[in-house]
Amino acid sequence: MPAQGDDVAHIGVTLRPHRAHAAVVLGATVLPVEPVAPARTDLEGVIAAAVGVALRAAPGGAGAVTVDLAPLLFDTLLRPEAEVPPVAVVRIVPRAATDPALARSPAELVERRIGRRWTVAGGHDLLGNELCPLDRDGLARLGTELAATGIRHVAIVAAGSQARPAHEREVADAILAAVPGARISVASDYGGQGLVAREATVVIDSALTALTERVLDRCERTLARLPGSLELRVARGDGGYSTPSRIRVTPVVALGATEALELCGAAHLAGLDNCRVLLSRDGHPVAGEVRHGLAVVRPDEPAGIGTELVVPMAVLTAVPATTPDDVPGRGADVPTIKPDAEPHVLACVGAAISQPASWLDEVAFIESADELDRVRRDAEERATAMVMANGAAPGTTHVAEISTVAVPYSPSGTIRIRVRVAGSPDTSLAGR
Amino acid sequence: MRRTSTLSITLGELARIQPLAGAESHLADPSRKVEQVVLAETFDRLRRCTPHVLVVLHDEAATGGWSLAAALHLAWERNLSAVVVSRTVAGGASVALAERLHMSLIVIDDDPIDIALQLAGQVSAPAAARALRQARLAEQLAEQTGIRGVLGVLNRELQHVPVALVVGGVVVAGQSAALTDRPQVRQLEVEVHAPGERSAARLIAAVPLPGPAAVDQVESLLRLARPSLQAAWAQSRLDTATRAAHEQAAFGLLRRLPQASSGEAAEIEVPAWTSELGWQVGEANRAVWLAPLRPSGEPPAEITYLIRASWQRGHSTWPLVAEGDGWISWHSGTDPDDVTALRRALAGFRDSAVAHRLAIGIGRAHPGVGGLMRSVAEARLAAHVAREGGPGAVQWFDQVGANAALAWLPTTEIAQVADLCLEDLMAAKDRAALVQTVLAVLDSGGSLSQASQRLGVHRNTVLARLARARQLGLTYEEPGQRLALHVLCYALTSLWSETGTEHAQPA
Amino acid sequence: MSGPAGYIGASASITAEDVPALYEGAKFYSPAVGDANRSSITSWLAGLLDRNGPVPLLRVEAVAPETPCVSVCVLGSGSAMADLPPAGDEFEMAVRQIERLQRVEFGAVYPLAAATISALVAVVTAAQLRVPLLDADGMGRTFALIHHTAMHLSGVSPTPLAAVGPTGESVLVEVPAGPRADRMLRANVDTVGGWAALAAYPTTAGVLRRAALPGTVSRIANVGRLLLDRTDPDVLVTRLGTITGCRRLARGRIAELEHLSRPSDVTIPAHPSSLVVEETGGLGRQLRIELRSEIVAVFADGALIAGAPDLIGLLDVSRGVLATLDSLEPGDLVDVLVTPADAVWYSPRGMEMVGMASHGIPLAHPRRR
Repeated sequence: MPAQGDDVAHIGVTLRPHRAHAAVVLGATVLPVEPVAPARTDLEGVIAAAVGVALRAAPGGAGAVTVDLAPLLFDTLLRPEAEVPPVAVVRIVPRAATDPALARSPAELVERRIGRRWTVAGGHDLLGNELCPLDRDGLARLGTELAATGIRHVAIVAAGSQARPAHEREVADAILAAVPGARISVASDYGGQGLVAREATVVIDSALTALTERVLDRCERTLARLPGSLELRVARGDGGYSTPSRIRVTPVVALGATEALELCGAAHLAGLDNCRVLLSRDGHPVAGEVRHGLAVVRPDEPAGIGTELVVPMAVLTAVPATTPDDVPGRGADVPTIKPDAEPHVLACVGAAISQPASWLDEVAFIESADELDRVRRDAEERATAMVMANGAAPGTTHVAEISTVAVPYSPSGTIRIRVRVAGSPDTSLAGR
Repeated sequence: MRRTSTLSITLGELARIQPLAGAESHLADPSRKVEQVVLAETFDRLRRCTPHVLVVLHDEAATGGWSLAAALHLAWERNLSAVVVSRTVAGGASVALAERLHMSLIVIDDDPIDIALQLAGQVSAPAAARALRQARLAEQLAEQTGIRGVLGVLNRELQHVPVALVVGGVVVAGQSAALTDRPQVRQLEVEVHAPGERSAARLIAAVPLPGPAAVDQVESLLRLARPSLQAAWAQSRLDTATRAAHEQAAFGLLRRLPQASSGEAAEIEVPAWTSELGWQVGEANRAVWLAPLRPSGEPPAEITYLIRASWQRGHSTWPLVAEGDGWISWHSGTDPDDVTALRRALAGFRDSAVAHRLAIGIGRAHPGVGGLMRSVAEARLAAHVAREGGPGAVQWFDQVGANAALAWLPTTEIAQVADLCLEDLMAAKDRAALVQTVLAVLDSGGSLSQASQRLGVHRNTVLARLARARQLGLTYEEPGQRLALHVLCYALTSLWSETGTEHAQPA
Repeated sequence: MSGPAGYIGASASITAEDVPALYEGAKFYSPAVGDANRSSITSWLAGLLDRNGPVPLLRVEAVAPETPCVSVCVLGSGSAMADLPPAGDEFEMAVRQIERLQRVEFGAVYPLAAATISALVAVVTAAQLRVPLLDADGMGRTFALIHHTAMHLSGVSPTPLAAVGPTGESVLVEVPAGPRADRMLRANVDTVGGWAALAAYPTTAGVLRRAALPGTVSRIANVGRLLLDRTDPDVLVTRLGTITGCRRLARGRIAELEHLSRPSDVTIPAHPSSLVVEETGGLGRQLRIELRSEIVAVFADGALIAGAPDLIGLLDVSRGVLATLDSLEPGDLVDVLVTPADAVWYSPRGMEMVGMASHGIPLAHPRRR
């Protein structure tokens, strides 16, 4: 049973390509962790130093260690030469693209991880109606060809699979039969809007699997050697955290965490629940928002990726240079803060204080106000179940955000529903 | 055609009777009059409405979202009294907008057409609507079993008109604002007689003039409440045993209040439940302690019943709380010097006191809960002193003063001390006479003539007894021992006279 | 219509570099659909322009009057299109079907609505057919139904029209009365996946000189450039005002989203919903914003302050970008912007077709009071 309570220190770690940083948060105080070289260059040394600081400072000992993998993952995606296993992509749509630009991902970063593409006829519309029967002959050929390539990481996306994942599942089953041990990522696990964004999400997911496994293994081994019962948590792109076992199967969720953590860390240090935070990216001022203690996130095009993703992240927007941001007007009803602390300290603080989180982004069809209530309740319940799987204690979860909007130019009754749920840590999950 | 003299019905009145009684009302101003009801199916109809109209939205004018916002805005522009709309189209934002525009919004669950028809009837015949309201009020009053409940119903019903139940100038229940004299307010009084009561209670209402509630309406509503009040009163006295336990517990609570509150200056508020018991705690609280001459622990319930029956004869608002070896009661009034009611009661109780062998102590008058508790303590001391006077004796604390302390001496223990340190005296056969004589001399400040007068013996006899007492160790003249021996003699005398075991023999 | 300095209209061409500005400007004129497929649509168009060369953008008057012209647009839902992207040949196929039916070869393409993805697919189609694009359109923004066009008001029939779905399936519609065409198409659109490539209003450049709204394509490119500038929202609104006549009605935070609180007309896509915005600063008014597929009315404390055919949009103040209707969330800080539509829509016939009454709001337009 790990330590818990107000006198327990929590540790946040952010993994940069060439060094790791850590900070210990004990109530309102933040203790810097400055391991001496050469220990600071390696993950194990930094975590051990952080735990040491925590044990010395906190009467209640050290609680959890929350790790931000995002910089390491992103750096790997950016470097063409990085050792990433190639990914096979299966797109399930009624017709293959006739234009080369439509056949590929608009993002070079995504496309260069793709070893081979297949299009299988099939797919559904947004409401789950089948548009085209699944091409089983094509699927059989795919199985044979895939086995021959030696590619073991497969990303599958089908049109309309958010509403009806049947085709994706059938393809996944067939591939597992043809290539036993294949590591498959299916788009219906993530929901969201846009085939291209959903495809990019599962490709990145597949590409990051091996690296994520290695890093989490190292983290877990390190914690196992240290005194006490330390729980490992992994920061998510939405600023929350999840369990290592969940992140191993959905590594893309960890991407983009740093931005959300920096926002939350800055708000925490300023003692604010609602604020606008000014940060710096490559020397340019950017801004993000924190509402009710959570970073404002949305599925968007993260900087440097080149395409939209369906996992929500805190997207920092450039602050126009023409006017200083502190003039009244923009967001004048919430304070704007410009943190003094180094970005990595903010990220570590944000990681240390993060909560388990989950979200849903779906399309539904309703015919009455009662049905709308039912759909909302259903979405809230599923998001709540997910947040508990991500490490929240039962009974501590709350719906942080929910929005339902009519989908424009769609049949009357088509709505997009988004739910974000946060909770409090379930400390009995340690060691899982 | 002659205009009817009936007043227009108000929004507040309409909201208290069906069909709107069951609706969710957000009334900006309940005193707004409603002159007409309009069922608006279109925005054109809404635009043609005149001020003081209550509008029921329907059909095109009630499609929700924007339409309710626009209707509220139009209603505000046209100075309408209220907007009634179906729940299916009214969200939280609409309520917020209504509040922002200071426009009354009533959210209904039933068919707007039915509601509009019913409302139209009520508005065109306010008298009928008011009769309906009285009938509804009568039902609600009938459901109340407590005095506070009855007053609660009245005050809820008559918003802006405070109502209080007053007994002898003291507010027993309701809002004391009813008693405050203000300009533009007319006070109404309705007498309430409890069965077999001498003191009458009064319902007092302060009706603002001019106001939404006409004086005659308020008066008829107060009269409606009378039977319920009488019933509630009677009900609360039904079971004396329950009542005794109830009062005992309640008094215990009351007693703890001053201890719980910090600082003497803290005004202790009189808890509302005291009025439920018919108790009054007011400006001048004078406690009465009824004490058996021979205390023998907690009096049995039957005795309490008998004592209560005779003590409360004609004074049913006076409490009677069994407490330790006696009973506590008190009288509350506004004038601390007014003891006429109490003297009358004591006179009426004298026979019973003798019959039950009770002595009676009476405290001084003090204000508030804290004052009551002080008066109770005083009454108890006085009662101990009164025991000396035998059955039926009454002792007022004002007249006892510090002597009361003597009543508290642990005489038995002191007698035991005497056994040990005045062995010779205690062995003497005439010890009672000796002790009594020494006491009389000490009480008289050393005056032998006063002592002989008090004892009814010759001065020489006194001198002889003093000499013998000195021999036996009662060296009362030594200043260092005088006080101790004085107390000791007092204790022995009290003990022997109480137990009746020894009597000083006249020589 | 004479534009301000820097106006690219008259005679120009559209290159791959113009694509981001076209996309942003097109969103300004129809902020309905989010950016779920921005990167794939823009890379598709940019790739085409790189391969096939720039598309000439011509004023209608610069084209010979007898030149056959056809309009294209995306019919249906942008969300559906994002999830089921085009194979790439749908728009070309739709145009070819009408060419075969009418035995003509179109000499120019124009957008049915120079807004949203529809503006971009017109450029795509022109690039694929290697014909010029007319700097004109039928709506100057988007309206819900395909006969809500200036051409229809001028008596030009939308048919024969062809709709090709992402499934490769197509329908050809010929109706004597324009408004019937939309009803016939809707069911088919749902069947082929929620959206379809539409080619309609085949006519000549001469007719379009009087029947189409001029300058609307170059306008979105100019608006887009301003939006890409990422200036401070206050500066941005002022600059947009000089090009489009837009002004800010209020700034506030989204407090609530309401749905299906009332019966809806099934012939109009997207059910009615409404947005409650609490004005920050100023008068602290409660704004109610009525949504169909577009924003159709704005009420401040219940008083109508803007309504269709005004173009009403929301600017996400904290991000400095346009907010799309499918991504609104309670808590967002938005500027409510109103831009006058083209004058034709304020005529009695225009108002009857696309005014507030067509959305079930029987109130006088603020401009009429």
